[in-house]
Amino acid sequence: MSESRNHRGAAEPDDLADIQLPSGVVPVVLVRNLVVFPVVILPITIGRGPSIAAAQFALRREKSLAILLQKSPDADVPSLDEVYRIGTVATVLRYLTAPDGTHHIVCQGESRFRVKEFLEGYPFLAARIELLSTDEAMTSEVEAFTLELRQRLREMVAMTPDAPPDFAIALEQISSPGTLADLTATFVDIPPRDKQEILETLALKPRLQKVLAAVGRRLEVLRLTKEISEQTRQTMSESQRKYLLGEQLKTIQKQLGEDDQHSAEIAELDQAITKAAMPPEVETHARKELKRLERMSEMSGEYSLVRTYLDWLVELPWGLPERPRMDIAKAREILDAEHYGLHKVKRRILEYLAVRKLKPDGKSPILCFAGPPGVGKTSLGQSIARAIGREFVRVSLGGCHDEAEIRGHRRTYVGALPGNVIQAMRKAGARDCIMMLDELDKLSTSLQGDPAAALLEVLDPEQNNSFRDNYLGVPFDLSHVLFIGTANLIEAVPGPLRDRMEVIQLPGYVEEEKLEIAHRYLIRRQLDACGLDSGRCEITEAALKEIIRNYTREAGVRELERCIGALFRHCAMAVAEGDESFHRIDADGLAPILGAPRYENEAALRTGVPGVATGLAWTPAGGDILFVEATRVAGSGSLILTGQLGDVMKESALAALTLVKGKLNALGIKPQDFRDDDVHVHVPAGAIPKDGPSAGVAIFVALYSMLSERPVRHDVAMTGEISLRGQVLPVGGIKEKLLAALRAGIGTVMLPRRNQKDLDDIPEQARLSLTLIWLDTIDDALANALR
Amino acid sequence: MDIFENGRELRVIVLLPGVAADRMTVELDDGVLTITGSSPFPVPAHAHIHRLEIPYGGFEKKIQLPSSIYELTASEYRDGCLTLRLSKAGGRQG
Repeated sequence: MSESRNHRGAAEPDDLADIQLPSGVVPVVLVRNLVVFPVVILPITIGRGPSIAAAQFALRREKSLAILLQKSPDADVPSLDEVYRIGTVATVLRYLTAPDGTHHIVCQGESRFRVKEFLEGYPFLAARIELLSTDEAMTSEVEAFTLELRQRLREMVAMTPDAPPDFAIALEQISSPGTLADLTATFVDIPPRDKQEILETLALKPRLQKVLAAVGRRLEVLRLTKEISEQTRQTMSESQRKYLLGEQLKTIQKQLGEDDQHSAEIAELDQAITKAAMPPEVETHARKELKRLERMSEMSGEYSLVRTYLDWLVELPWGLPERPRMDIAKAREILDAEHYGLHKVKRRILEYLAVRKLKPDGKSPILCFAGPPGVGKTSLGQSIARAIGREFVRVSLGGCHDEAEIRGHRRTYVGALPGNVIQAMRKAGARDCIMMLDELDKLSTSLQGDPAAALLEVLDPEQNNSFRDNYLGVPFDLSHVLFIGTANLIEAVPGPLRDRMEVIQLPGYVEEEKLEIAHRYLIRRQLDACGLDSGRCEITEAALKEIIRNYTREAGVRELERCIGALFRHCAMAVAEGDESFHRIDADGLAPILGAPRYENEAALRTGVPGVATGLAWTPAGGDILFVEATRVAGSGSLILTGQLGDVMKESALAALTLVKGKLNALGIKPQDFRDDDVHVHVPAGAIPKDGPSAGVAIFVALYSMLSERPVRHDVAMTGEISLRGQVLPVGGIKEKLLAALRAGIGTVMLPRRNQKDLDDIPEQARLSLTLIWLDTIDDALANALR
Repeated sequence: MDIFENGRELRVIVLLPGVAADRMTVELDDGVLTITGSSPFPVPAHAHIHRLEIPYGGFEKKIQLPSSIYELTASEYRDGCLTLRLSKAGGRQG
């Protein structure tokens, strides 16, 4: 109130009562930020003493008030230079003193004026003024501008959401273009400086132009504002709508009693975590994830991700199950009952059991069974699991080419899952299961990384107690898992991986073993598969031998089993047709059922002529015999090699030829005789690629036999690399080669002496049936091979 | 203001409180009724104004009458209302 009292002080009745203003002089009110136009009624708030005094004076004397804009709105006592010189003379219609001490006047503009001079000596600002007349002449141009202005104004009013409804009507009713311009200038939202400029424009046409420009700008701003606010509203309403729907859904679920589902799920998971017996580190992690899940809406996509992850965590076998005491005798019994032979493997498994019995927390071995197909690697794994009473899971690695298949994908990926190893662990449900990593030799490397490298961690006893799957992100102890790898070709298993495993070779079976296996397992199984029993049909021993020798030639027993199955199906057909008699299948009864023998004793058939020697080859399927044929035809002294021979084998043939040429003297052949002849070496079967140095001895013997015209003994097979000094060097795959020789009906095998160390691995049966000749030089071979 | 029409008579009532009857004039010209007058500031010039809402000073009101030819027959100022009676002169439109 003190301010207002001060103001009143400045306008005490006594001060004002005696004041007389000369004619042409009016009291002036300075305003900060508004411009009063003629005709327009506008409220003005006045606070400054001189202004109040001026208003009071004007009212009391029924005089007009001059209203002038100051240039700077912040100046409290502006100097006269800072006041515009043109303003509006106005009549005060109302006067109000508000309770807070401010004074308000409502005034109506009358006419524009120009200040001629300011007068000093009054309690208010006074000025001598001259009224300005405006040009209101109506030209067609002015009319056009007026029309345009009305149009713009209508648009503007339509776009101003809170415009008073009367406003549009009032605008329409104004007929004078000057008044329309002034009224528009009053209400359009432009700075006071611009309004003052319009006020000062006396000519109608430029005034209309200025107002039009201001309205146009304003319209543009309004349009933009509207656009922006509409966009905002759109995005806002979209998210709000979703939120609202979500809330509604929640309410509906609550009404339906489904609200508890979420918390029930959380409680269930919580219990599962407790029950899973996780290591402390993992449990902390799981509980943290559970907390996150609890706070999440079931609607969110993340929910199911976390849920799946927790399901994986709780379903993994973290704890070690209680196992009954191991009975080694019983395990041996089971192993023997299910697999014939394979003593070395069985012994290794029993050793493991014995060690485990003495030291229960010891590490499990990592074994690898290597051998040709059909020798029982996979079924042996299953039977080991049965023997020691553990769960068995198989992870097939054939064709696996992505590191992520072993170790899983990170959880950030869509559809991420743990790798094969962890998946197998969940399937096994026990941390000390037997995990068979099948087809280790068929891993391949690709752009997605090397799965073998990931397996290194799995198979390293020093590391696999904290195997970290990318998906799980927490360590898992694999050290109690008994890993068994299998491979056909141990050489194809990456070196570091091979190094981590204890390789147990499963060579092929010999005839007697196959017979035994057929009697013990295959016949029973096939009888069962055909719905027969041993009371209805039988395969004689002679027939089985005939099948093994002439119908199958394999390291394993798969083909044998198929043949037995074919025989029994033949019987089954007869039985099903009503033949009640007992069926006995003998050796001579095979041909009508299985067809003519597929293999025969080729060795005896084909080496009756000079220039043919029998070699031994190693194949992934277990080894085979091959023939080296050499002949000499008229030509130009060159060596022709055919039969899909690899580079190493070609070089080996060249070496053999050179060695033979060194012995021409002993054979009584002149070197020049040789010059006009081509030597042709062929190794059937021509379609199968062959390579390796081990046929060196056979090629040499074939060449020598051809030149000396002495045939090679048909029951002798040979293997060994040759050097130019005539030495016989050791080769690999001795076991498989000997078994192949045995299968092919060979009686004598010549081997490099330095391969004698491999003899231990050779099955007893083969050792007894074959005559083995150990070679130091090629002369030893010649001495024994030629007839 | 109110305008009533009753047969051949038109009655116009204008609210003009605080205006002395002798300070107003009524003119009828070509169907437009013009009332002019003034009400002086009611207090001495040295009184301080706290609130001023009643209009003072000169005023002029123009009233467009329903189209016809009228003749002012009577005027009465009572209770702050000026009541004017007009009668239709011809009954035909001018």
